[in-house]
Amino acid sequence: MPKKDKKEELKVVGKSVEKYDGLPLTTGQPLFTDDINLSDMIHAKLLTSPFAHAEIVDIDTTEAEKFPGVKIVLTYKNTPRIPHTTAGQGYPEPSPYDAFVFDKKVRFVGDRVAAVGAETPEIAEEALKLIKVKYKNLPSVFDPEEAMKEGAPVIHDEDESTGIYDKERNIVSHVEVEVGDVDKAIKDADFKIEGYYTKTQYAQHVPMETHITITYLDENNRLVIRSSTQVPFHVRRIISQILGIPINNIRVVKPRIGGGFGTKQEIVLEDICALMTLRTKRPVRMEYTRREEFISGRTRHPSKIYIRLGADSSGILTGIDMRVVLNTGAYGTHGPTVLFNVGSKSLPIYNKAKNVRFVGDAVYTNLPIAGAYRGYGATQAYFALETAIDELSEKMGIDPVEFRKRNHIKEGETSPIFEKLGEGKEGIPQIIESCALDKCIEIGKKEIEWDRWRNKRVKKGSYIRGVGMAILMQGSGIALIDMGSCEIRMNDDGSFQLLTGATDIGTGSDTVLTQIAAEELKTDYRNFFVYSSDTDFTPFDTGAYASSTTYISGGAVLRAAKDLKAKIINYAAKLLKEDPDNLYIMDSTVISKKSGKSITYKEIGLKSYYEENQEHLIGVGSYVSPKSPPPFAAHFVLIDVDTETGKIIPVKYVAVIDAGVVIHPKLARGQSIGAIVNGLGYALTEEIKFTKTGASTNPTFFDYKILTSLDLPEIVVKFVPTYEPTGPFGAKSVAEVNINGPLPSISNAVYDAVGIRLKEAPFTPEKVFKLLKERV
Amino acid sequence: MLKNVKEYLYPESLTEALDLLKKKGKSARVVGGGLDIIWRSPKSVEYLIDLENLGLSYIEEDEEKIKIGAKTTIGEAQKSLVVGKLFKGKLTKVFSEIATPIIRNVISFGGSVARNYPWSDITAILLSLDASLVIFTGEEKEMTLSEFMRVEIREFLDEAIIKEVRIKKFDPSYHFSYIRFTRTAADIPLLDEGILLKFDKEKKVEDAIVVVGARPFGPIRMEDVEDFLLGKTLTDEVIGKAKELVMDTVKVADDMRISGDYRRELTGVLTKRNLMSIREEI
Amino acid sequence: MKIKFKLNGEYVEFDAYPGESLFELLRRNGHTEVKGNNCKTGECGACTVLLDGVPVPSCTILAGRVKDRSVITIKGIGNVEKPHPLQKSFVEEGAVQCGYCIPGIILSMKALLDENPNPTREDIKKALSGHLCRCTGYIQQIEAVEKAIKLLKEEKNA
Repeated sequence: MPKKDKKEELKVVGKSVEKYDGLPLTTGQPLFTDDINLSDMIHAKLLTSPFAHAEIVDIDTTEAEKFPGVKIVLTYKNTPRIPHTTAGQGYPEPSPYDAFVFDKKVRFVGDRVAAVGAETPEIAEEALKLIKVKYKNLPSVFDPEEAMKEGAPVIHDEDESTGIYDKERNIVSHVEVEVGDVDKAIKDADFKIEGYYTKTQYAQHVPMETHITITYLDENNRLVIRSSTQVPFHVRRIISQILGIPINNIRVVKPRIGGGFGTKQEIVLEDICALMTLRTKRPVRMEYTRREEFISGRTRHPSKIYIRLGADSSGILTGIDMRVVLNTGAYGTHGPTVLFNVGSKSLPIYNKAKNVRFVGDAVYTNLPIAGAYRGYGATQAYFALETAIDELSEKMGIDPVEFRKRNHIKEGETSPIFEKLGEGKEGIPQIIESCALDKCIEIGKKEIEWDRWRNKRVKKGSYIRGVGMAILMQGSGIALIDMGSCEIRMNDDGSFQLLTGATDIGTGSDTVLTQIAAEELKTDYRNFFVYSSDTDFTPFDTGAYASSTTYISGGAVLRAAKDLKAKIINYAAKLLKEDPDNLYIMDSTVISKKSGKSITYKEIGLKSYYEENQEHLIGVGSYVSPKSPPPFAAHFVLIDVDTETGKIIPVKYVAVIDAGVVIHPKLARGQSIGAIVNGLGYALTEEIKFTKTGASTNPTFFDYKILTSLDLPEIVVKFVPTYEPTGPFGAKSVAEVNINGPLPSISNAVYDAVGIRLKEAPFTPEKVFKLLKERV
Repeated sequence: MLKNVKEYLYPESLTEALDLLKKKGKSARVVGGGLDIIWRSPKSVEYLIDLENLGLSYIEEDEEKIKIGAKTTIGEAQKSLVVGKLFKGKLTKVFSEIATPIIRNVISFGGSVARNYPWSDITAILLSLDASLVIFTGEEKEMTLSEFMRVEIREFLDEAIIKEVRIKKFDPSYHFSYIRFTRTAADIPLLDEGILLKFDKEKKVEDAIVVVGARPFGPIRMEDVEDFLLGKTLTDEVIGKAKELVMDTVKVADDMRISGDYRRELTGVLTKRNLMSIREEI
Repeated sequence: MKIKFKLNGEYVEFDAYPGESLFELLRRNGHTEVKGNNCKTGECGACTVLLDGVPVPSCTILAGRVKDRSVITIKGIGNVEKPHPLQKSFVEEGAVQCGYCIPGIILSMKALLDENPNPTREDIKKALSGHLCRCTGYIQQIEAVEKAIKLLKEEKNA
């Protein structure tokens, strides 16, 4: 009689199976938003503000409306004035309601002024020029610390906006938490770092596909929004809110999208398109040009972080004092949550410090809108924290690797910060149930040959070599807030349909989620058809952000699979006339351990549809987690500094990651490498610079430089498996954490090489050169 | 899309192309690679004159020079065995670092020279090699690139079409080095420098061309430095002095990418590296 | 104007605006397999097609230039039933994430392998450098090309 193995080997989880949409993508199938052609389509173009801060005294669209081929023109005069947030977050959103479809005021160069819908994009563009706008220029402010001072121009002075911490001082969000007595701890510390700060720049996601939305009315007169978005369900809810139409009259479909990274965790074009469709009854198409993507899209929050540290003579941290000022740009989307995340995703990693204070402000300025960007505050935080820690360990004469080993959080431990800092409000306490950070550090240190390079300043011509490191953590979903759900249906031939709200933005989640279902249902992963992110057909999911897909959406898939498994067994029990407790599943077959009788999924499918005790076997599950188990990573980088030009050349980059159980190794590695390369660009070359009047000087690939294949170091990614009991098959999130590594690691490596502390990103050659010269 | 273009014309000969250009006047443009036209999309352009089938894509040689048709792309030059013979393959290597591989398949020599962008690698390289052009004005006229860059190029090309670029076939006593300073690998140069030196049997410099470009102004010859190098051997001292002379005499300025001061420093670094690279070869 | 050229092996004749680019021409005529946002500088490489076998960014090619020439898009080298070894290896090596940059990259790589069936890793990196990818960080794409080289050799020997 076949016996059930006690410890079952995973058959599909942990294997790099063929990606579900892989071949359709490599053979050019029409999978993206713009790959459909609807007859009668109207093309929309946006008129944006040339001024950083101005009132629209009047706007005259009569000429534009008369222009042949123009179908509709929208301005503040004919659109609903409902304050909302463009941030795709769960309701009630932590972000302020400070945005309008169109306003009588403009708050940054690139802000919305009007939109034209016409028969062709060229006509729409011509018509934009015919719109006459009278502006009254207002004083503007570009530095967040200046914007908080008394007398600074008030950017959101309108009455309707809500959720802003202090309108008069342009403060969107403010946070202050303290554990213990930080001032005393640092005063009494044997070793301390004070007067230290780091600064980060305006940088952008640069997805290869810009924002694009197509809306139309279907045959039932329902509004369909087909959009390149990470958050289809939030889009549906917010559009319902702004335009006052019932949720059931809206369908949001997310096709394949060309990259998100957070910039599509927003409503960017959907409201304009939807309005135009509702009024003209015609399909409407709107996309951002690359230039518009740079100017009117979303960016990372520039930051200034002041940090003080204190440690005792045994090398244990006693106090961390972190104060951050975030520039949230002209609108507050994601401002409060990114602000809180600066602290919540970084401070717990050094839980040995008993005295911790986190103070921060997210501040409006008349600059482009900062929003969600992979890393989400942690990227800025680790720059400050991990470089300050290096300074401290140098002061104490302790090797930086050794210092981390003594102070980082370990399995079974917790940090009071988890409870104090959550999503724009208090958080949730949690105990770390999986953490291999110590192993990650050991393995990474060996792989980079730390002892060979550290402190040696090996010279080759004008190049000097240095090595640096950083330890990191992130989260897996947002505890008690992020919810995902899944439905798995059996077909009449024993195959399955998997419906999930989870949003595959190129992450391969459709594939990974199928692996989870296949593993649980003990069937081939090719037995599934996956359909995701369509609000009419797939159950709810908050969307692809906060590293939630594998952990939360995967958790929902697991529950749905377990639910279906139980139903299959119960159904089979009736057919086999056995007790369900005697039955188990193996290789798509239900088998009785008592009698040996069996029935295949195929047979069950047919019988359940047509022949006996008919029911449609459907499994349903939702998952929201009481915690957000962090993935951990240790990053090491070997660099050369060209002392004659200041150019930093990354030679080798090592990332050792604890992501729990890795479900799809190749996808996980690929995603992690992508995050690292993105982080390298953020550290070395990416920067938006502005004129004195707040206009971007480089909204093009010509001058916003992202890395190419020839700019890469050797990259080694390793995973140290742990088991996270609350994650599907032990998984946590995997990729986002890695984007936080390059900035501090490189700064630390440059210090090792040439003794210069880089505190302001990006580390361009000219910047480094100047510092080298000053030192001489 | 160039919205105002009324006609895309296919002349059957270079003469016909020139006639069309003259007839249509300022609203007509010939299409080299077309990169500049599409990028700028000037509203004034109403006629585009195709040059695809006029036999302007070639790389030939005679005893003295390499002749590159104006429509030849950098990508084609990079693959050419004829080009590969110059400086033992160094010119091929230099071509292979310009812009990106796929953009090199679009940039034409004629288009590069005609547009004369200050950051153009091609004009800097050709100037360092004392290249000349063959211009078609109804008849063929040869002029050096130096001379060409001194005319009012835009007006000049209202009634002329660049037909060919000519590079001398330098014998082994000539050595060449070109460096471009960039932010990432796919970038325009923020500063570039090309040096061509001829050495006599005692390894003394017999002839010198030193060109610095992307200053952010376009490429120019550094005549003081060229004069200084004549008759000298490339000792560390000479290289050091040449470097300083470049830094002292070059005219640079700030632009949105880097500062003039930093550029000045870079001219020194590039000079030192170019000269040392040449020294290793001789 | 009417423009006649060979597209994926078959002659076609499209209505073209005289001032439009090849990218615009192809997308307008239903060829959605050519991706890109028409940046007109060719710097991201997503819109790459093969023009007489040579990879070029289609957003920088004036449509009129392709008269009587051959243009190949990603659909011209393989399909889901019979994928080209590159189309296969890119999937197998995890080189495809969002997939937006992929058709352009695969065509560039095909041109590379057509010219040089044994490129070094450095050669592959250089050929890839005209393509921007924000998802993958390029490494697994380079590995996919190396795998395709093996697959092509096997195909040849078979």
